Order: sequence, then structure tokens, then C-alpha cells
Amino acid sequence: MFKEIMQTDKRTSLLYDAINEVLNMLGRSEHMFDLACNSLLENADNSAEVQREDRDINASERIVRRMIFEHLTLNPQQDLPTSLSLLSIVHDIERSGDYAKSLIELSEWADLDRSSSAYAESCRTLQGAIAPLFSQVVEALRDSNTDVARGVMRQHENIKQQSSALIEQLVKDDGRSNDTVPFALAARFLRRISAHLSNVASSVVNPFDRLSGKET
Amino acid sequence: MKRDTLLLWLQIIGLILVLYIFLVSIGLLGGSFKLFGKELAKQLIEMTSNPLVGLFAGILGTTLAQSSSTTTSIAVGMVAGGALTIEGAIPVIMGANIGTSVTNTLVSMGHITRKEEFKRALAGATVHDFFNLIAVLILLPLEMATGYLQHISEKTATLFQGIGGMKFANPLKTITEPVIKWLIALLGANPILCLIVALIIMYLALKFLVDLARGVVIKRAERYLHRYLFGAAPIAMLFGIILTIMVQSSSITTSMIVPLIGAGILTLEQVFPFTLGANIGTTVTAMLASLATGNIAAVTVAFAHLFFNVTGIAFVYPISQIRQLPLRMARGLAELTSKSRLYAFVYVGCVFFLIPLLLILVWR
Repeated sequence: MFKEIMQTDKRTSLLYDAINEVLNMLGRSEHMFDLACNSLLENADNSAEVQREDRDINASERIVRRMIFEHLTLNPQQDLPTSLSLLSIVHDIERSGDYAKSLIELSEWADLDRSSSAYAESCRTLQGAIAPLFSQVVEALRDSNTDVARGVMRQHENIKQQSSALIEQLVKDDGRSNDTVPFALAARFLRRISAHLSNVASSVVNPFDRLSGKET
Repeated sequence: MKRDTLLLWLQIIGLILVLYIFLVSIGLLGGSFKLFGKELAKQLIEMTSNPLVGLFAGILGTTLAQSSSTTTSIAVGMVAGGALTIEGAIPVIMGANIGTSVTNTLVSMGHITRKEEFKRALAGATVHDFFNLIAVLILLPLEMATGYLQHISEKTATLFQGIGGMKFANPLKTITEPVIKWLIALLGANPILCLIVALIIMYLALKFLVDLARGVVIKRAERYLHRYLFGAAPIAMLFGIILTIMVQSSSITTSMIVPLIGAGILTLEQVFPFTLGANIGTTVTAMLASLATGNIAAVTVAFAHLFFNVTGIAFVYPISQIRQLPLRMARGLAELTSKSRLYAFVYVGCVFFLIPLLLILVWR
């Protein structure tokens, strides 16, 4: 549904601008994710930049909402499912940004053993699995590519399992590590970011009432 | 050819056709008044010799027709047919300006079940009403005392004629006249029949004209609306003028933004200049109608409509204290309706129906 708008309504439809804004938001969200993971796992100081990106994402969310409202006010019969899907998508992107911010907070609060901890390595593995999802979601949305969208949703299922396994491991930790709580939270936050990306991808595949659900 | 492009061309052809029918109806209206003869013309002129009767007739007529274009076009047709003087038509046109603002106020009632939303929507809609009321309060006495609108409009219409503007109008008259003559002959040169048929055709033509223009324009206007309505006041005003000229209805353009105000996306300050632009844009319909008549008095009335709105803005907009007045009044009414929504109905009932009707009966 996004592809048609991107191809045919370039000159007139606000939805074209709204989709572009969403794609930009995904770019910013990816940047936030990279910065947050770097702070958490490599001890980089990216807090200010993440906060800035978060503000921009929040502003973009408002702009997209406004565009959708204006579009539906003037053309209520046109592209209703796409419009409502976009509202759901911007919310998911904004939430993924919030989790990136939570990762930053975690890196500030906890004195983590980043170099030798096996848990840090597991989080890096999760980061490596999630990072490519951003560009894949952009491709899925821009080209209405259902194969890529389904691929993102499937990868999320794997990430979910990995994250659950890591959290289980952390919960069962007999106390040798002091970092169990922060890493458990980090695993959870990373899983939520992946889940929100999967939700965005689901808008390409699923009918409107099944958005954020499993692949149909 | 793509389906959308084909549809667009069909809509444009439809627009031209309906516009032609509208111009024919104006000619037929003028023709019917000529057929009535001098006696009726004399009576009508006497009736509208009281400018307040003309003003309230304009308000009531426009409120009932929900279209200022209908009222102003009828006034133009009557002036062309000799049934109304320029002096008598000007208050009618001022009244039409007030009457047309009822539509967006009624649209704002759609938000009545949600208190805060309704408050914003009503304020956004009635800022148009209050501006028009203030403009009339200032300009009608001024016109009665000095006749400035009539003077400027007559001079401009003459100037227009002098530089060949009326030559531009002549083709319109040339292409409509044979059909008008044919229709008059078909109706047995019966003035009542001609008048009824002219009014029906005009009403339907305007309705289809607005519907078609809305289909062609509004669908494509959303991006411009997003870009220009949130910008500087002169840009928003210019956008209001252009959009209303294209849609041929200020009711449409001012009503379509009411949900945006209700949702809090647009502020009263952003909406106000756009509304004023719509006031100017809507004068184009009477202008077209007058050009088709080829009658200098009718063109003068159409110019009076334009200059009334332009001078209204010139009086109210530049000085901050005066500019704030319609905004304050709109906010005040909205505040009042937040206490009881009944006030909204009382306001519409009194301003647009009851007061005009009673005063027409009293001063008739």
C-alpha cells in the first residue's frame, strides 16, 4: 500500500510526505540504537546525541499525526488503512527510540563489566542481529516488499528466543556476576526494540486489525 | 491514458459545462426581471431602498440557500435586469457575506459532543462570523454616509470597460445569449416561469460547480494546506483567496478547516487570515456572473462585493487592537458555550434567522 502512494501521489498527497517522514524516523531510530548500544557495550558517551535524536523523533511523530489528520479531513475516503497504519507505525518507532534511551540510562546507572562478561557478548550478539532490521524495515515499507517484511518478522522471533534464553540464564545466575540485573534489562530492552521493528514490518504483510500481530 | 488522468479531464470538462449553464442562468434571471416590466422593478427597488432591509434580506437569503454565491449572483442578475439598484444591492451583498458564515458554524456543531473540541471548533468557525459582522458594522454606515463602495466600484467598472475589459466579457455574453433567448422563447416569455427556471438552474449549477471544483481541487490541495496554512499570515490569506477562487465557495474552504481547529492542529490566529482570504476569493463568482451579463451596473455590484471585503480587511486587520476583536468575540462565545451548549444554538438562531426575519418584517 505504501509503494503505490510513493509512486503515484508524489505531487499532491500528504501521505507521500508522511511516509517519507516515517522513513526518516526509522533512520534516526537506527542511529539512536547504534549510539545507545555503543554507550552500553563500549562505554561511549552518547547521551546528549541520543536525547537530541529522541526529541526529533517525537517531533516527527507529531508531524506525521498532523499530516494524517489533515489528509483524512480533506479526503476521508482515501487511503484510510494506510493512514491508520502510519499512525501505528510512528508509535512503534517512537517506542523503539524510548527503549534506546532506556539503554543509555542503563549505561549511565550501572558500572558494567563490558570487556570480559559473557553477558555483554550475548548482548552484542543481539545488537548484531537487530541492527540490520532497520534497513530491512525501510526497504519493506518503501517498496511494499512482503518478503523482506516477513523476513524481519521471522528474525524477530529468533531474537525473542535469544533474548529469553539470555534472561533465563541471568535469572539463574548464582551470584558470580554483579551485572545480572542491568544485562537482563538490556536484553529485555533490545528485545522490545526488535519487537517494535517487527510491528512496523507487519504493516506491510498483515491486514489492519492484525497490525503488530504475527505474520498472516 | 491513466484512469485518474481521464477522470480529471472529465471533471474539468464538466466544470466548464456547468459554469456555462450557471452563466446562462444569470442571463435568464436578468431577462426574467426585464420581462416583469417596470412596475415590479419599481416595487423591488422601493423595498430595498432601506439598506437595513437589504442587509437582512442578504443574511436570511444566504443562510437559507447556504451559499453567498447564490445571493450575490441573484443580486447581480437583478441589477442587470433593472430590478435592483447598485445602491440597493450593496447591503444585500454585505448581508450575503454574513449569511455565508453560518455554514462553518453549523459544521462546528458536529463536535458538540466533545466539549473542548467543540469550544475550539466553534471559536474557529465564528471568527469568520464576527469579522463579517464587524466589517458590516463599520462599512455599512460608512457606505450609507459616503457611498464610497459605489464610487470606487463604478470607477473601477468604468475603467474596466475603458481598457477593454468588457470586451473580454463580450465573448461570454455572445456564447450565452442564444441559449438564453431560446430558453425565454421556450418558456413563452413568461416572466414567472423564466424566474423560477433561472433560479432552479442557477442553484443546481452552483451546487454542481462547487461539488466538481471540490472534487478537482480539494483532493490535490492537502499538501498546500499543510504548507501554507501553518505559515505567515499573508501567505495563509493568499492561499485562502486562491483556494476559494478554485472551489468557488468560501463555505467549503472555511468549513473544511473546522475539524483541524477542533483537533487543536490549527490555532485561531492561523485560521483568521485564511478566512479573510476566503472572503475575497468568494467574490469571483459574482464577478463571473456580472461579466456574462455584460451590464456595467452588474459589474459594479460585483466589484462592490470585492471592495467591501478588501476594505473590511484594510480596516480590521492591520491594527492589532481591532484585529483582536473578532478573535476575542469568537473565544468569548466559545467560552460561553462551554458552560451550556444551548448558547451555540441561540447564537445561530438569533443572528442568522430570527433577528434578520423580524427586522425585515418590521422595516419592510
